[in-house]
Amino acid sequence: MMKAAKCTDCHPPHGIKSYTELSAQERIAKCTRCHGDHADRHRWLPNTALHFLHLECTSCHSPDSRKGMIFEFVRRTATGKERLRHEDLMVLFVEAAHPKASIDRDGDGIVSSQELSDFFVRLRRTAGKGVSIEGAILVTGVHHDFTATRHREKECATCHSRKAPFYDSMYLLLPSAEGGELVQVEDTVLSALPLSLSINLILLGEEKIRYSDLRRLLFSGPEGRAELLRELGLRWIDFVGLGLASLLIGLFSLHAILRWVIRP
Amino acid sequence: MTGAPLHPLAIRIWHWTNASLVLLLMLTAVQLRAPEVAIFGKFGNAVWLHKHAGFCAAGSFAFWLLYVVPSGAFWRHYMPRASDITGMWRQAIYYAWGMFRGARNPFSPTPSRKFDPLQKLVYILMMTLVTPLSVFTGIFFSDILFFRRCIEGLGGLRALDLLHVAAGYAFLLYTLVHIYMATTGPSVLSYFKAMIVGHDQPSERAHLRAPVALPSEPFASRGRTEEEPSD
Repeated sequence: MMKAAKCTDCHPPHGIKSYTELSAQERIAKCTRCHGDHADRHRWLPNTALHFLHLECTSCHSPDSRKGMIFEFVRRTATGKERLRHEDLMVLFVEAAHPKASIDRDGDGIVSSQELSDFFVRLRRTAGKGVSIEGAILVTGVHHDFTATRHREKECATCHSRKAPFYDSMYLLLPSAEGGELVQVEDTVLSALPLSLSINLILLGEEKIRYSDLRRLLFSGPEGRAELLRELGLRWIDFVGLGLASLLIGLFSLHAILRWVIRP
Repeated sequence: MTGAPLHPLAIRIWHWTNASLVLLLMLTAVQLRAPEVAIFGKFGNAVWLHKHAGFCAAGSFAFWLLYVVPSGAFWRHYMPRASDITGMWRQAIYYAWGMFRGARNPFSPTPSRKFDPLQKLVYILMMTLVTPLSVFTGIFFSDILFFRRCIEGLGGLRALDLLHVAAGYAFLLYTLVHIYMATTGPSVLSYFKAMIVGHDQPSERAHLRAPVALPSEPFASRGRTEEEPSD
């Protein structure tokens, strides 16, 4: 019979890492010490192994917890990938006391896609092309009731939709001397080019143009338009694809009308 | 109707099977791209249908390759020739101008030469570039962990997504063009009928006048007349 969980099961007093620093895999490992049959019990979940690479158990099994999309810098090694450590970043950016100051240039506390892109370009130039950005959906504000389950968490569109809660809560995990620090990032990092091509996480239903984008393109001033064009990034594909399709439909409608009117 | 059919039975079955799969793939793709457009109910239904229709479409592409390459149909019907460059211009002029004046289509399909120069260009791009791109990126997406090396080689997950979605939009544009151009036959439905029964209906063209001549050469001088096996 399974014993009731104690605080120290997940928060060992001698643990050297805070929960913020734990990856999805490390968080899952805490649960699977008792719940070893988790893979079998999630056969209903398509791409089970892939989901368990980028999610922790409490992403679903604690519905009232706050979830976020967490990014971190990793480096490809002979055996897989490893996180960049604080020392790695400090060696690369000796000009700043803390990597956060090197990234958040305007000091507003939020890393824009442009700021992250600039930082990442410099990081790659120094650390090599093996550096990329890993992403995961993790709990950032825990609610310790893990008994509650809701049917909604089994609906794919709860996460695979632009309305998923973590799009409003995106962070970069920066290694610091004290452990790890979460720095808020703008959601445009997912589409900004060339940055987004280095992010090793994609969710179906994530990117598409919105009506507001079209309105900004047509009705905002030159500054707003320039900003939109920068932010669109990968979403350009929707603009081009749907624009060309609309153009073709218009041309064919005109052609068909002319064929009908000018019947030889 | 006597003689070899313009579209053999195997090609007709393949065509309509493929058309159904492409339609299903595009409709499910709409829901994958915009989950709030719940065409197939739950999002999981759209994912399942898209994945399995994709596997069927990959099989359909393999069948097409095995059918047209060994038989020589690929070189005969699809491969553009130097003479097709002027033919494309002539065909475009016909669609933009000649057909409104009652000119005869400068190209008349036969079992040995089925596609006009514009069709050849579009079909060869679709079947040698867009379809393989769509099939292979789709297969990689079907098991991201298994194909992770290939995906990294392509530039990562988001580059893979970009390529797959670009191929999808190319299919959307192609489908719009294909369906509309299929209405430009002797009658609006004659090309659709030909793809169902296999034969073109020459009698339906009887009302059309002689082709409008271009400055370079008359339409009548074009085209091969020898009969070759149908495929």
